[in-house]
Amino acid sequence: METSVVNGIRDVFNNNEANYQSSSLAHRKSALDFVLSHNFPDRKDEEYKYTPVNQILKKNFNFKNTITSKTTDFDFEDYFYQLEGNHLVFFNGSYQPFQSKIYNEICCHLEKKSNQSFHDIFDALNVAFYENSLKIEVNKNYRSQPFFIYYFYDSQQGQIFGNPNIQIVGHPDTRIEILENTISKGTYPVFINKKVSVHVKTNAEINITKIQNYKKHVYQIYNLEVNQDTQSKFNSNVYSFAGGLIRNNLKINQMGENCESHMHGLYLITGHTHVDNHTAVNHTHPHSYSNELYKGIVDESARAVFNGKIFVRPEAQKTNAFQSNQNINLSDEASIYTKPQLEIWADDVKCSHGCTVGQLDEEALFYLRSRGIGKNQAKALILIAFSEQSLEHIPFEFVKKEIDTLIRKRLIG
Amino acid sequence: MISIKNLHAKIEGKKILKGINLEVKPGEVHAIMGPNGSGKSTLASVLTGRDGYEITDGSVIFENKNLLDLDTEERAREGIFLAFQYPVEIPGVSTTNFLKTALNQIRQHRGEKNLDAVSFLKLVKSKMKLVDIDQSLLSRSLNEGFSGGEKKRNEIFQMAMLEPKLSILDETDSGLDIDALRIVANGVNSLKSKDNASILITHYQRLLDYIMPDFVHVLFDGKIVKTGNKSLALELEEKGYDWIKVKHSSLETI
Repeated sequence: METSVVNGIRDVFNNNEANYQSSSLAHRKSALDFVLSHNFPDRKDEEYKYTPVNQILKKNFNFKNTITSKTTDFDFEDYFYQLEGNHLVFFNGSYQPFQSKIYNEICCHLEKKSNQSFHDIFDALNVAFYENSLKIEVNKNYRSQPFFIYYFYDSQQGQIFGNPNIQIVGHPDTRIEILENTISKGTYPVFINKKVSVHVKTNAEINITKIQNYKKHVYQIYNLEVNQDTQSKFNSNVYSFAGGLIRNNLKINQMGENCESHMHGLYLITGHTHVDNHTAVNHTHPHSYSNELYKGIVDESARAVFNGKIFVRPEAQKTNAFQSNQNINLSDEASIYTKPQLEIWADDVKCSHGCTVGQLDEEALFYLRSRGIGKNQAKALILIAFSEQSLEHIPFEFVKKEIDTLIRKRLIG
Repeated sequence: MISIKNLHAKIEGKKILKGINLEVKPGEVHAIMGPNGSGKSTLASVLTGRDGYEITDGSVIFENKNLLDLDTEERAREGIFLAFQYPVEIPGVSTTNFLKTALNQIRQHRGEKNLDAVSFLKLVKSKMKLVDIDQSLLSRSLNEGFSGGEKKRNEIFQMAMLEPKLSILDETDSGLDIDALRIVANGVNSLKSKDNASILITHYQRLLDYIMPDFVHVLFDGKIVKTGNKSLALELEEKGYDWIKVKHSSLETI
């Protein structure tokens, strides 16, 4: 790592050090050492070939200029959904229990100690820097309301480096629904390095829906790691509309039989937005199921990257795994890189994967126009229909509507 | 209603239409027949404004408007309808939803108000009977997974809904069994009025057993080489197209 970056990151750490619990300082420092002895990934790194975070950060973000502001003119509550549930506020990366509106007290905890393990540079960066961790935990016989998590960033005064950290545990026979949204103001760059770990225990179900509609100076890395026990179910829905950089890493580890994982995504991007979804599902036990469908509409100079890995280990017989990534490219300037990856060691499995990149179907467009529908509206009809398939698995009706509105606004104007 | 004069068109540099002349008046049914590759479908494409065709000469006047100046959707709003040879499948778009959009855009063009949901459904119900199409089919994705017959019936259903002045039916009989053919033909016949007209493009005269044409034209090598009445179709059925090819080619060599 370049000296200037090392110094920048070190400065931020030193400025924050007083806020960290002394008992976990050593762990944070070891994470920091890990970060400083590595480089941010580059074109040379296979996993980041089309998303060279190092260059992107170098060009757009300077750790030295970050500020740690505790005050803001944000009125958080204005942004809360008008629904019963837990409204949880993060500000500039740290959880704000007193600004939150919590329905299920027993389920939401704040943890200040840092003892989480880390596997890569972003993981380690988060572990070194996160101010506190939100732990959402639901026990059997406890009916929890949905969790709405709002991430607020205020970069009106300077650059913001935010490290939200969340741990979610669904104990046996429970069901958790989570919706994440991000709201930002200010024009200085924001670098978000989010780490979320999920444990879905036996016969539990967790559903996470994320809306990513950032400003163009927001750069985000999101590491979501999921462990699933026997007979558990995990659903991920991710909708990306805008941002400077959106990199979503989703890792699912099925650790028992009869696990079910669903991954749905949609990116509808224009301008210079860069969206990269990397997913990996690890099937380790028999009778497991995973289903993945990511759809993308890429316009102007936007760039979309998809990489989906499915591992079926030798013990994971009778696994059903499906994966599909479908893209429509609307512009000569846009680029789409997609790579499905299937590695199967078991011999009695049913797996399929595929990706498509195409233009808008001219024949369909002509058909609609030949019935009197204007060109733009015909285009919108086709694209909306293409997108909406990805909304089927959202558990909240109002979110479906909200995303639908976003899609229509974007496509019809 | 429509007057086509000396129409020349090419696609990817290849001349397909080489001087078509055709006059269609309200209330008339014209059949255009011809061997494969004679330019029948190209004519349909050019009249509806499909991309990729270059008009090199000639004119098409439709209801006092220069048709070739209009976009595909504008032509449709003026009253031109094409029943596709291969109706397109559009996943996620239901027939009713799409037809409502189309109908309202046509109505707006005519300066009429949008139809409200109730009147629209009423209209759908009344037109459904015409082609014996099931409501469940209409709420499904447009043509997706439809049988050949269902697709063609859906085309005629759309035609009934949009009430065009000039319908162009491109090989509507292809891929239909006799029962489906009868249903489709009945639909077309009952939509016929003194104010509208149709052009039937067909390879076989079979369709003409069910829809009586006023004129039969033979298209060969991008030109209409023969015009007659229903009996011309029967003659073609009997003799095939070869005699026309021979006759026409020999004319060229003279």
